[in-house]
Amino acid sequence: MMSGQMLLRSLAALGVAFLLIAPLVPARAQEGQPPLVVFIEDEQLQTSSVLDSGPDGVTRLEQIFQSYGARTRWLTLSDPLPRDTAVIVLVRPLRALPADQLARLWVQLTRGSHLLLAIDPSGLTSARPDRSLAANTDKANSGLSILLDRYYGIRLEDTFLVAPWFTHGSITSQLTTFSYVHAEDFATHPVTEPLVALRLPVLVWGARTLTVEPLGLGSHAAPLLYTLSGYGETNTKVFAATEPAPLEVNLGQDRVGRLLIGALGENTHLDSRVVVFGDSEIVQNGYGLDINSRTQAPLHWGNRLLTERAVAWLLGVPQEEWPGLPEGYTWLAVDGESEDWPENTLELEDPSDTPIARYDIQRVSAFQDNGYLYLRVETAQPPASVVRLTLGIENTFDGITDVTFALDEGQIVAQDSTGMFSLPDGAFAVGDVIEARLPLRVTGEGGLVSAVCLADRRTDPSSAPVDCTGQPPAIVPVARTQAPVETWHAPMPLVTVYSTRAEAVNLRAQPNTDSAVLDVLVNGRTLAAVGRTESGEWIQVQNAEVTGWLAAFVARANVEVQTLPVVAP
Amino acid sequence: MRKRRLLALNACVLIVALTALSIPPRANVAAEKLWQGSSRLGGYQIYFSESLGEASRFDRSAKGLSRLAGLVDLLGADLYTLEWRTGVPADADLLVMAGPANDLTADQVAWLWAYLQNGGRLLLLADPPPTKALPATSGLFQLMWDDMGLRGRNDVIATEGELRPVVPPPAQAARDQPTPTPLPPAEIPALVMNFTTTTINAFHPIATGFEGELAFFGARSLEVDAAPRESQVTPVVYTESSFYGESDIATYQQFQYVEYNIGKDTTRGMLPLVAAMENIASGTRIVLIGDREFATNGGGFETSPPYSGAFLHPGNVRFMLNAIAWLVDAEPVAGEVSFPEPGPTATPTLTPTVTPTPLPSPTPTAGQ
Repeated sequence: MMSGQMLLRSLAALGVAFLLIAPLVPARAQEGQPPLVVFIEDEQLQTSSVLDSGPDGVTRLEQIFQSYGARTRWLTLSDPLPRDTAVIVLVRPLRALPADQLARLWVQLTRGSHLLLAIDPSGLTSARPDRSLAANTDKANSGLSILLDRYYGIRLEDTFLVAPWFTHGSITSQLTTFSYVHAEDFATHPVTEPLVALRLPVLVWGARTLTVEPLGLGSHAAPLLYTLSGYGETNTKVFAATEPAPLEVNLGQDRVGRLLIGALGENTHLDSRVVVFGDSEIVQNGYGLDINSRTQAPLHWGNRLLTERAVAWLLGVPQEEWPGLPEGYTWLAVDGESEDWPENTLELEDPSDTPIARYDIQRVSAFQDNGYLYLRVETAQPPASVVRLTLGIENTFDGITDVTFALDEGQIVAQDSTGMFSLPDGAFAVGDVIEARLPLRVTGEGGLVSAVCLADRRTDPSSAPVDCTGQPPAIVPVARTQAPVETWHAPMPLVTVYSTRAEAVNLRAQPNTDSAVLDVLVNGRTLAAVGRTESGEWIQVQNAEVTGWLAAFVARANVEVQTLPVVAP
Repeated sequence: MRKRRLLALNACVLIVALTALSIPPRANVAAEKLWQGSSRLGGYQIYFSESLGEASRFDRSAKGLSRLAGLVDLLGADLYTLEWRTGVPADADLLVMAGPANDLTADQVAWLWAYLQNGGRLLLLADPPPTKALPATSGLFQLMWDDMGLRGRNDVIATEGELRPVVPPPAQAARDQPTPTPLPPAEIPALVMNFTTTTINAFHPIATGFEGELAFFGARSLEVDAAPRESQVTPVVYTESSFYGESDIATYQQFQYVEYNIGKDTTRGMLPLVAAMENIASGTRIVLIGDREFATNGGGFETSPPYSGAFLHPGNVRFMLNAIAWLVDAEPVAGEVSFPEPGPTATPTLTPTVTPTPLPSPTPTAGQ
């Protein structure tokens, strides 16, 4: 029989053994525990704060993690991170990580933690007064970059993404260095699938480029975001206040071509994943994750979906549970495939009336949401790739076509009483069917689709089409959904609403305060800048829905306003 | 004839006997003991870092580490050179960094720290300033201090030797002020930085079976927080109490001028020279020695005659072997080995002889 003393000794030994073994429990969440997400907060690094609900903060990013059931907390890298950390979030370190802090981060990654890193380029001065010093972030040859490269195949580059319209004036502030990048469509990762399908752009504000090596020892990586417009400037003297270096491409030095802005990687030896964005604003409250204060809907669906799905990937959420566009948004890819078409659309039947089956229209479908009119044309056989689609839209119900469109795989052109113009924010695709997307600001709302015709684009446009629908004009039904792309995302001048006095500003029909208010635009909303008044006090802007005028003092343009063409009101 | 043969036989026996007696008896013992202990480190994978300017295990010169490596090899360990680009291999039982001359890059610190945090073992010899590697307040030592309570200080351990006249360094003129008048020569002590010590913590396993003294050749002091914590740090070797840590060795090297600055220099006393850290939970062990030459061929492993097994400082040799054995969790080695008595040498006598030589290299021994 065990004596009391022996029992006590045994219990003590068990206790000691437990204390010794407990710290050896491997990283990652213990069974049944929600995953722990640690946001790095560091005053020296000037990281974006999870305690800051303002535009520079990352409280919305934290909410996304929490929406998957994760526990969140913030810590510095001056202390060891908890062993059960599932994901480490490091957003906007404006200073390079010192060796000891990098070591703490790395220890946790070797234990199987994951990392979400959003990091800006060096040189850019923030717009905020308390961050007047230029960013001096980790360089390509920094420890952080070397570790990411060797273990995940992702390397930081010492570049600053310069869009074609950037000027020395526009790059002095984060707010005027915005441009659109796109989800990688060459080899699409599941994280960006809906962005590719919907051609949803991602808005960045002063980005750096990355290199991505897909295959490596024990690792694989995939690019997420790219841009073809602009170049990666390597000379930080372009930011100099006096005699800045010119914003021009230096071949052999600057990065050109397909520039990567975001990537993810996985190391199978470490069982660790990383997501790297070359721009911190992608995930910050007042930038990429901004919302419409009236509707609470995200302003930039590309940023939102990218972040949500990247977080899901990092947390190991099953792919079938990853979010897409929520209810109330049009989920339709203009890709020539009709599986994603909704029901209750306009259906115009057309009999076989031409021997050329690939041009023989069988059915036309159409609907519109708040931003676009969508059109689908089915032919007797899969349509010819060289097909040209023409259609007319009648808005005034007077039997006269108000605007006509000619679409092929080369361009989309509209013609109305003001003349002929191209539509870079339209879309056209030929596959099993023909699909098209046209902005409502040009088609008009509640219009009638009149003649829909198909022709060979190689023929003279004035010659007769091969086939046309023979039915009278029909009203396009309205789907109570929103287009996910609010703005015109072609590479061109843009403005962002930025008022220090109010949360929202008026979009006017004419360049004066007496004219009708077309819309109320919240801070952070981005539109295309298409012209200005003679004085430059008003900027003509437009998106898929509307064309109007914005007072220049509440707008931040990425170009000198005076370089915009003067447009008659 | 028979008598003559007997005399010849006796002469032969005498010659053999005399010859046998003339051979140092410990040489046989040493070889035998070394051979017997050869499996003591058998099967252990020991990696040596060399890319940061450490003493090399392939270097047979005074700066090299070939003698230590040879002994460890003789004891059965498998030796490799670390490839930093791939990090420390999973099968590594010990990493030896014998006095990096260049500081670790941030990614190397990260690699090394991850290795240590996951149960790694490290033998680190860290030279004092002016070597720029391993500053006290950043990188690896910052981490070690924060999490383990151990680091090297930015000083050089010294004590005052004989006085001699030295012109003090010129004072810096303030802006727009005339250049100060040069000061007259003053009687300033030379610093003694090469020394031996016998102040050893016999309770630590590294000191098991250890006898004798340890020689140092320009060392940095260690800062040790031995308070109870997960990582337990134990000072193993101290200086005598007359030593302090000179924080401005550059001025001394340039002007031969030195003064003990309270609050700036490390306080005089028994300063830790070697410390051992153990984290039972993670399995991590570190031995930190504040002097690279403690184990180099021309320092602690110097022999006389040159290129023999007769070590001038057998204590250093036994201590290093014991430290490695403890680090890899093997039985102590020191008691198992002995070495021939060294012959006469030109090596400078240690404490308290003044050796105002540039740091950190020891005075080379003639013939090496």
